[in-house]
Order: sequence, then structure tokens, then C-alpha cells
Amino acid sequence: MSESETESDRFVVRIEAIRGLLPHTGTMCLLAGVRRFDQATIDCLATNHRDPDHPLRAHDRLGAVCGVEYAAQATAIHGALLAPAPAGPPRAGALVGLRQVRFEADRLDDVQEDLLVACHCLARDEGGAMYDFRVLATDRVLLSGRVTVTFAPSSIRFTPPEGL
Amino acid sequence: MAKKILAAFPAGHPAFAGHFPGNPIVPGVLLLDELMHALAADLDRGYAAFTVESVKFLYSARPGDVVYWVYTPVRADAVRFVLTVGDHDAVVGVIVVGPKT
Repeated sequence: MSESETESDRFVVRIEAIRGLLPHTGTMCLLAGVRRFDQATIDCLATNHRDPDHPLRAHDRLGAVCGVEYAAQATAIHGALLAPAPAGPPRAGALVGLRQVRFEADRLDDVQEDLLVACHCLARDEGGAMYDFRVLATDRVLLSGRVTVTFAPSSIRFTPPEGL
Repeated sequence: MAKKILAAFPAGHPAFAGHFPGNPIVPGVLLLDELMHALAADLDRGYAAFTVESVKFLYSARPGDVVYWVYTPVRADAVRFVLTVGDHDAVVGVIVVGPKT
């Protein structure tokens, strides 16, 4: 962040607005805001990973794999931001699959920097979506991989295109 | 060679209130976190040694459920795992295990 950048410049969508886009509530709303997004990508920031009361803490730390939930929530926000208005109340989404998740850290609660959650959409239909994601501390990748989420009734199944 | 790990998610778990209101579900990452934590200890590896090759989430765990993982070596460098909730295979996948770093 440059010195001239103020707190209000940090986000194009702030936490208060995110809360209306996600089915998650309270401390399970993990992201602090959206830095930028376009049709294919979304970058979000999170600041709560050091919180001793974090709802995903276990074994006295926030395990690095919990970064996947940050990414899944970023994909849900992306879907809501791109949906034609009015989108209606947020639907419960679900994680359906992961591929090639790699780690450079064991835990997230000892990361001093904010978390940058960067997602790139590979495929989307009415049943769900597939994204490549990275969770970073400044320029250091903490974990990365591919996540498939569903955000529709179970009667509609997400079908990834051939080759993904 | 198969190893078994148990985990319980009591109704008072802090994730349930917000995930989701009126429809509490154990976040899938918490299930995976239990497995990764046990694997790291059993195999004496940091997470950098692991690549989660594939995971499928098939069924949700709910408050009060006791879940158990079974993982089995499938290659010299990989384990296959199944998480069971009641009678359901809930989460399945493969984790590649690299050398100690």
C-alpha cells in the first residue's frame, strides 16, 4: 500500500457489502474486502487470520488448509458481483472438489501480513464454478490450487468442461 | 498399513453459528485440516511436502457427528484417504507425500 492510499481506498467492495453477498454470517465471513475484480478474476484481502477466536482454529493454530475456505468465499463473492441484479438472497454454497493444492506454510495465524486471496475463474455455469486460487502474504504464496464450488440446488450439477 | 483418525465436532463449535445460520455444516476445510494435521505428525513432514492431488466432498458432517478418516498408502509417494460420517463416505482423495524438507 502506498502512503497516500487511505483505508477507504483499499477496497472496491467492503465487508459490510460482502455480508449481503454471502450465506455465511458472523465470524465465518472471513474476508475483509475486495481489492479488485473483473469478469475472470477477483482479489480479496483478509486480516482475521491471527485472531485467537478464529472459528476455524484447531490444534491451537489456524491450519494452512483453511486458506481454501478463504478462496471459496472469494469465489462466491465473485459470482454474486457478476450476477445480474437483483440476485436475491445468497444461497448456501458448498465446496465440491480440490485439485493440486500445494503449501508453502503449515499455518496462517503466524503470518504478520494481510492475506491476499487471488482467484481466477476457469469455468462457470448455473450449477457451480471452478477457480485457480492463491493465498499470498505480500508476494509469498502460502498455498495454491484449484477449487470447485457449487452454489445451486443439488438437482443442478456443475459440469466442468473437458480438459479441466 | 491403514491408519485411522477420529474427530468430533460438538454442537458448540464456533464455526456452526455462521456456516450456515439454521443449517450448520462442518466446513470441509476443517475436515481436511484434521487429516493434514495427523499426516504431518505421523509422517514427520511439513505441509510443503504435501500436494493435495484431489479431494471430493460428497456428503456433509453436521453438529455432533463423529467422523473418522482412514488413509492407506497407494504408491510409494501417496496416500488415499476416505472420511466416513455414519454410513456415508463423505470426503475422498489422494495426497502426494514428498521427501522431508
